[in-house]
Amino acid sequence: MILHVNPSSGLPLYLQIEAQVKQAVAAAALKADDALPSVRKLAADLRINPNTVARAYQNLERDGVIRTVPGGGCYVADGMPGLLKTEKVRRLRPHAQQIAVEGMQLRLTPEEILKLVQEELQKLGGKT
Amino acid sequence: MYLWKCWRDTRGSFFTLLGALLAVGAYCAYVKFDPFGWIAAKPLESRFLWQSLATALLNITVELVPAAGLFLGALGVGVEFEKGTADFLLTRPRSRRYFLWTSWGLGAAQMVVLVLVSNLFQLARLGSRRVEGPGDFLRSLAALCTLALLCYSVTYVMTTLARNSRNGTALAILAFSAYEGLYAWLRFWYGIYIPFFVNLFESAFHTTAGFSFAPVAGWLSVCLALMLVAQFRMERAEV
Amino acid sequence: MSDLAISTQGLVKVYSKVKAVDGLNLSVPRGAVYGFLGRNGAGKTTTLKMLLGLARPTAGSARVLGCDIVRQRAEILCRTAFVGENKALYDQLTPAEMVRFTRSFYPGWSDAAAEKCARQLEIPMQQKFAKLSKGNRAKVWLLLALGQAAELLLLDEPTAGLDPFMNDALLKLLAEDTAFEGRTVFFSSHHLAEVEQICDWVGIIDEGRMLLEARLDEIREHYRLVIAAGRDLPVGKTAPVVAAARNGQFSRYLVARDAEAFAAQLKSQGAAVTDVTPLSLREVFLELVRKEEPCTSGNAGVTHAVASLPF
Repeated sequence: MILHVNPSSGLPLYLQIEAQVKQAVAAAALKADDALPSVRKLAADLRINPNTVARAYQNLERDGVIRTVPGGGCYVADGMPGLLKTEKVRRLRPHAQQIAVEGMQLRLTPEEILKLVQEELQKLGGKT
Repeated sequence: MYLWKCWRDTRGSFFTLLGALLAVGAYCAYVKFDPFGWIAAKPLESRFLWQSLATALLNITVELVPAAGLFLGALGVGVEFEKGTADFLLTRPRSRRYFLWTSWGLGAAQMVVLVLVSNLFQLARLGSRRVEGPGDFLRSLAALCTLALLCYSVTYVMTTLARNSRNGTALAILAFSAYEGLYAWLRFWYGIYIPFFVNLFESAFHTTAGFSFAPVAGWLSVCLALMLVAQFRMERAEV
Repeated sequence: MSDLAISTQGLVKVYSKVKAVDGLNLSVPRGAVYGFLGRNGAGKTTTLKMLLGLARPTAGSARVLGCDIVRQRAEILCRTAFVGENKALYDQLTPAEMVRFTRSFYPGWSDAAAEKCARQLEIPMQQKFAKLSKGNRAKVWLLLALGQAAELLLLDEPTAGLDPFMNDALLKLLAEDTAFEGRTVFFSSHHLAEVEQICDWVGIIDEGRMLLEARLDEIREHYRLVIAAGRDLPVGKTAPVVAAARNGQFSRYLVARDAEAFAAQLKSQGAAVTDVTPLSLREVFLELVRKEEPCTSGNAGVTHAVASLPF
């Protein structure tokens, strides 16, 4: 898996890493139980601070995207079976709200907004 | 390992000086002992010339050994500032006192070696100065060592204060000259006798009046005092 | 405070009437990789020298790893590795000999770390220092510092003279070895790109004073540049404005947080807010350090105010 970060963009590096890992999982480029590079290796490869990578991994674990094994090693979690559907919906709602607000501000119609979301879902292959 | 580094820095100069000393000694030994009989085969005037040249050369060389201090003293810790390596050395976890005294100590040992070698020539009766036994030898040794250490220490301190080897040497020569001038002025204008380097030799050879350690102790204290000044400045130095 | 690797309070250094450092307050948390940024002559090297006992402060105080810089210098030097701006070392020694010499000072020396560094930076270990290029000299200093495996690494322009490939190798080394073990890295640099990449904290110094000290993530997430057009807009230092400049009709504000609220406030004063953008570190730096030229037309000249916030 190739990760890439841009230190000069206005986005914190840990968020960039999280976003890329989540995207890879969503697009099934990363499957359940795939191993992620260690904090140290990823930091060295990207030439960034290991604290940054550690933070990203912590957040990913908190969000249930990955899990850490005691004794080292991070693996992609398997589809968060422990989470109830209601919990998953609750987590997605703020993002949905953001899309709705932005879309309205840009004066797009609800149909156009929904079409956008569908296109993105298609790109990811619609897998869960 | 700092001692090793000081040795690496000074060994070139030290071996050059030692080499020069040994060369002079070898030449005089050759003239005196004449292993191949070439000197003896020469006419009287020529033989006489060779022998007096050798003797004079050795005497001068032995008395110039303290001047080697001007060279070795300029290789001390002050040079670190000149070469720009002080910000490396002074950020190592040792007191600055340690660096100052270790480097001084090595140079002092080297000076003592040079003095010993030159005194060994005297023992072998290569020069004109006759050594009348162990007491005489030790007194002469003490005197020459003290003078050598004084010359070395003054140069060392000046190099440390000036942070530059050329300026340090120049200041040392200036200091000695100024002191001699002061001595001469006080003695010949006012008849005041202040301790001068020569009295080291005077006391060394006063076998009848009894040897006085005072000049040796006195000048060594001067060395110590100067080194303490250098230590004080070094501990407060800014890079 | 034992959770700070370096902390200074009102540090001042005067060199014959010139204030190289003028009341500097610096706080470097343990385990951070801290980028110390400033223009030439801003006081970065002087600060580093004071922290290491190479210069004595005129006023103020500082603690490094919990030790006072004036009274406990030897202990600081035991636990700190330093790479100086001046890359001179002993001309007659080879890097291998320099390693032998240096490791004798440190019981905690790591041969593995030194060997790895020498290999990754491709240092010619058997060549006399006098014959090494400037870049190689910098590498030898880095080798001697990284081999110490010290708690705190103080680097003054460590990448000066390194080509981009070696620069990259150094960043990789720092990322791999130093930051991870809970060690703190403090480095002063002009090269904003690499600071942005590897640092998690940044401190911007100008004219001997700290202008800004914050987490880089703070800057990315919350700092914004607000550009507004309008007459008689405030150019004050009040929080959350960190820097403000006015040039004719346009005013630019570097805002530390709640940029949207601030923009709304300006709008309520009748200004037209043309832009609220995130900034790269370079842009933040230039905003803080730039001095506007006086404008010759429009409003009454230029005002430039800077506030330093105690984050």
